Amino acid sequence: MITLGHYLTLSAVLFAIGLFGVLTKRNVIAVLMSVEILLNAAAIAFAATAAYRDPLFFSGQLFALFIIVVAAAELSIGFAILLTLYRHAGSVSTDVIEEMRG
Amino acid sequence: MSLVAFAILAGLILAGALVVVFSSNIVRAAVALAFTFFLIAGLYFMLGSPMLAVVQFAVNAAAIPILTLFIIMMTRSRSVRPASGIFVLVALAVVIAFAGGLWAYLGAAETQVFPVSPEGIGLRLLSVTLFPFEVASVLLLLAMVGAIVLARRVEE
Amino acid sequence: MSRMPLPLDRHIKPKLVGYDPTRPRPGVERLAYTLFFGSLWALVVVAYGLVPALFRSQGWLDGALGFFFYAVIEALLAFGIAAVVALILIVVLRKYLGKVQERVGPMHYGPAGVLQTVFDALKLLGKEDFAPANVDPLIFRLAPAITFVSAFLMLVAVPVAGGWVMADLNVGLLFIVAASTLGAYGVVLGGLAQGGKWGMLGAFRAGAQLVSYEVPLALALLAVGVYSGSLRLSDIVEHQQGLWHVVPMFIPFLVYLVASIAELKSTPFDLPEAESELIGGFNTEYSGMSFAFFFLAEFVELFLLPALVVVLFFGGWHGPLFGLDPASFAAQALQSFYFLVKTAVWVWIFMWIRATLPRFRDDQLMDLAWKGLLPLALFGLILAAFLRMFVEVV
Repeated sequence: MITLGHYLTLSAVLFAIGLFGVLTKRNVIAVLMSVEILLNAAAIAFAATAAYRDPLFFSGQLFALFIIVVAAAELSIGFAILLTLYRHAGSVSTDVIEEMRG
Repeated sequence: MSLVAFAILAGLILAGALVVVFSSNIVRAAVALAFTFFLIAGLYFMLGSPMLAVVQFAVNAAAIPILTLFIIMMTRSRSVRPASGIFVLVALAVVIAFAGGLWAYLGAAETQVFPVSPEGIGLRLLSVTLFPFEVASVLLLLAMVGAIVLARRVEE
Repeated sequence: MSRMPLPLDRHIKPKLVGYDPTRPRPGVERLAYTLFFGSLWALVVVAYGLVPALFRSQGWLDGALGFFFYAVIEALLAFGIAAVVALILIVVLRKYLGKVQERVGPMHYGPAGVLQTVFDALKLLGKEDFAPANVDPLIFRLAPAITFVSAFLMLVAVPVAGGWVMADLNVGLLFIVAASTLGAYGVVLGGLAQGGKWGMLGAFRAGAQLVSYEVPLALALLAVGVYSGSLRLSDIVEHQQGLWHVVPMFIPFLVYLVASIAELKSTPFDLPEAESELIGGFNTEYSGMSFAFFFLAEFVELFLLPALVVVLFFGGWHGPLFGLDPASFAAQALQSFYFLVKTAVWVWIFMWIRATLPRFRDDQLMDLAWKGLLPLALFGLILAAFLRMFVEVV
């Protein structure tokens, strides 16, 4: 049988993969994609916990819904900033952002 | 039976996520991201919440990677530098340690899934979590306006 | 229509002296269309009625193996329906466009040209599936498959008669939204993978257009969901027992109509594949089977989006049953007949719009989506909520 632990383990491994992507990627688009993986890993953990432990209020599932909403908002803003960065510097590498240091 | 299904699904999800992180072709990474999110929707189906599954499918698996592909096209970026070798080893060690710790924990041994109907989610969303719901809608509106303002070309 | 002079190098020689293959033969055409429609109906009855009834009566659905075989057979039948729909609609559309433009349309293969699509399909199967040197092979092959899967997923959720549906999801309406969004992948990836300028421009236009029109489309669908109080498509059809939704939900209906034609990328909105501007846009470099999949998906959608108009706004399978018990097999077969007839009428209206309207300009397209349809769809959603309150109070 599948237990809650299986889902939580999957979520943890997925989170680790996403974190690795966020830390190592140089392309901002790739970083944002990794952030999406992080958020989804968290949503899996919330939804699974709600499905196994919270039959009456399933708050975790609602939280997963809110995570999806916030992820969409975050991504649209992130891409808008990315686009201005690209127009300004002609590249989407994190190396360009370094030049903004004061 | 269902454990086998879960194992296949989980393996494919992790494989998709690894492709996103390790692929040097960013278009393929975006496609792998969509694939991963699509399978996560399947995971939500297994968790007895078709509502969450379909929202995941519509927003995360369909809309967000399309947006990503669009940005990839606009910024003309095709390839990303692959991660260096030492980083890979460190990261794998982190993953294994993390997963091992969780397996050891495994106190979460519940086996009973409680399915949730879309009506239930809707009622909860508009009664108890009404305030966060409204805040989320304001957040989306702000994100929309903000994205337009940021991405607009300023007249010289 | 006056007779045309025959070219001398025709490879099909007139069999009889005085025989003219370009002579219009409306009787033969009508008979052929009736036969096409009948075969589609028969296939629907088999796929939705006979096979599930057989499996249920024999109790094969209880075991995992039986269920697996059931799923495989149903998937094959759904594929058959998709293929038959495409075979029929391609030749009907070409004939109809010919009539509108005062041409004769395809005339040479089969009586009065009604078998044109069969020969087209054979030609495409026989062609080399060529890929240019600088494409990304994986993505290039994936794009047509994704497009087809998106159309196929929508087919699975559409109810054709009372109790006749392949997957009766309790979130069917959202599933439709999700599956139609998936269709944008095929176009964007197809354009992106080929690495040429036409494909890139097509992918840009397709991405902007499909994502923009997805918003009013989803809002119009949700208005129907709010009004009928369910996201399950068969519940929505049941809710139209007395009054079809087109009357109270007229505004969402208009929004859905325009947005779904935009989703279909057919003529007033065919910027992503504009042949006179982009040489086909996202499918410029495709040939053989890959191109056939794009084509198949387009025509399955030309069937499914009108079918959804019928399901959501025109009473779905409802029609006079002549005293038959609604749960009986005959009544369900009759209901699926009504559904297909209504769908055929709407397919014709979609073709009519395609044949008569000129193409939008890029900025007009965006203006229509964001300044015209979106406010209208929001108004429709609010109206639906008020009507629902009114219905519940009364």
